[in-house]
Amino acid sequence: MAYAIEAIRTHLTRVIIAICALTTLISYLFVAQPATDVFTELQKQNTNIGTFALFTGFIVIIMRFVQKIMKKEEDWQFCIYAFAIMALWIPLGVYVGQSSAEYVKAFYSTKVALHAAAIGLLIFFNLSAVYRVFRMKDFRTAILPITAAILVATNSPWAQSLFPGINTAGMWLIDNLQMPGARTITIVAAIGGLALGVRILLGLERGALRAVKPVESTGGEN
Amino acid sequence: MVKSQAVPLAVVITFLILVPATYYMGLVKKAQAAPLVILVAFSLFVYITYYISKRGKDWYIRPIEALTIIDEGIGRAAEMGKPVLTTPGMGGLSGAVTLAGLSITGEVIQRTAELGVRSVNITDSAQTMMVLEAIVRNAYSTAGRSDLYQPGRYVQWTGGEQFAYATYMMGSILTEKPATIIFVGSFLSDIMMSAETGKRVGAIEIGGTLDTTALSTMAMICDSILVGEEIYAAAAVITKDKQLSGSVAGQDWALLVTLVLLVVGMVASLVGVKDIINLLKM
Repeated sequence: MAYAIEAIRTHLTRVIIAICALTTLISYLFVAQPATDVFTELQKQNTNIGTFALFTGFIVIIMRFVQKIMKKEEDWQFCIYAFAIMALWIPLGVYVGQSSAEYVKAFYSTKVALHAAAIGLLIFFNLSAVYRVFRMKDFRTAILPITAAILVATNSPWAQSLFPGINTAGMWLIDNLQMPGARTITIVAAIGGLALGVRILLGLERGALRAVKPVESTGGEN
Repeated sequence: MVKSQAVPLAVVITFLILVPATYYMGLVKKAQAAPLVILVAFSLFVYITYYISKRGKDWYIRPIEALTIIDEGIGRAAEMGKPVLTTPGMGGLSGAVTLAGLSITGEVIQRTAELGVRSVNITDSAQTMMVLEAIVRNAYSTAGRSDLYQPGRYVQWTGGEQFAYATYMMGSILTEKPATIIFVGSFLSDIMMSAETGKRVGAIEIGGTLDTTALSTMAMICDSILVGEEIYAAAAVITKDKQLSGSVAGQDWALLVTLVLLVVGMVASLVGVKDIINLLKM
């Protein structure tokens, strides 16, 4: 039985991945209607599986919250708060409707306000990071803040009126320094992704579903 | 010797015949010929180097600084008696970078389990949460610490919103005060809030993502970052697995070919020859 489960976890997963990957590649690269049909069907199934996984995850979360409340674990009060919010929002969305005036008002009064607060926090963290990072000690460490200052000025109308040519300098930095860097990262990441795909197909990557051989237990945890 | 080389040779010959044959038969989509050739060539590089390493060759893989720091960070957590916090970022399982993040997380959790260091693993997706839970269980089992594993103890879910995730991360970092934080996965502007909070509690931070805006923020705040393909190669380098390292060598060959193509293409373009650009447009 254990051998069968191990075989399913290793080989079946690999077979499913291989079929899905090859179908996607064939439909993308070749003129092959059957492969395109299979790909479309797989996409539908992918949506179904994704929804099912999401629903399962939701049940797991509910179970964990209930367990936490029952055992009065640390911060269990937040779980009650989460349930109260769910009890309020789910009927509002399902019965009143997402485009209704009540839902939109509730959405703007809570979620959007909280988002605005979080974005406000970003300014604080930006400043704190900039204070720590942009310290000019020598020429090398001065390059980053100077470049950043030029880019900030490029995006500030008042700076453009003070230094008329700054926009050209900023755009030159974006086009000639930032763009090649970003493209390089994209290209090498694509190659890395391709290699990862081959490794998965060869069964070299250790994922959650790969069978593992446990060893004897020792010691404790800090 | 001949027998050992028969399999990769057969694979290479098959592709060398199949790719032009399908092209001349009109089976390849227009404008997809160049991607097909590149895909096949790079996949063959990875396969060949994997095959050679399977036969016993040890490849030299350049050391990745961020991974050395991960090792140091786990050791630091063990010495300080503090946890290691890992996160594959936001989003479900459809993103390759999230999968790569989960792969690294698995290796990190196994290390922490071996050393008896507690790990806190945070995600915003219900899908990823379930996979992460399975990874933690497997990691503890592989490390021989199944007795320490408790469902729900190591994995936390934040709610599926960017700033809910960010504020949860901030709260968790301030409460747990981790010695090391590993951000490898999908991130956006939320990384500024969580990584900066990590800096405030004095944690060692290692970042890695594909979004160039988030990556630049990581470069500013984190102690070390994984750039581009390093994210995908990280698990191979951490495990020091011979065959995995072989596939990373193939990846480096592909990078080298890309670099040569870029330089040749740039020079050709500068002197007015557009053949390489036209070839890649096929």
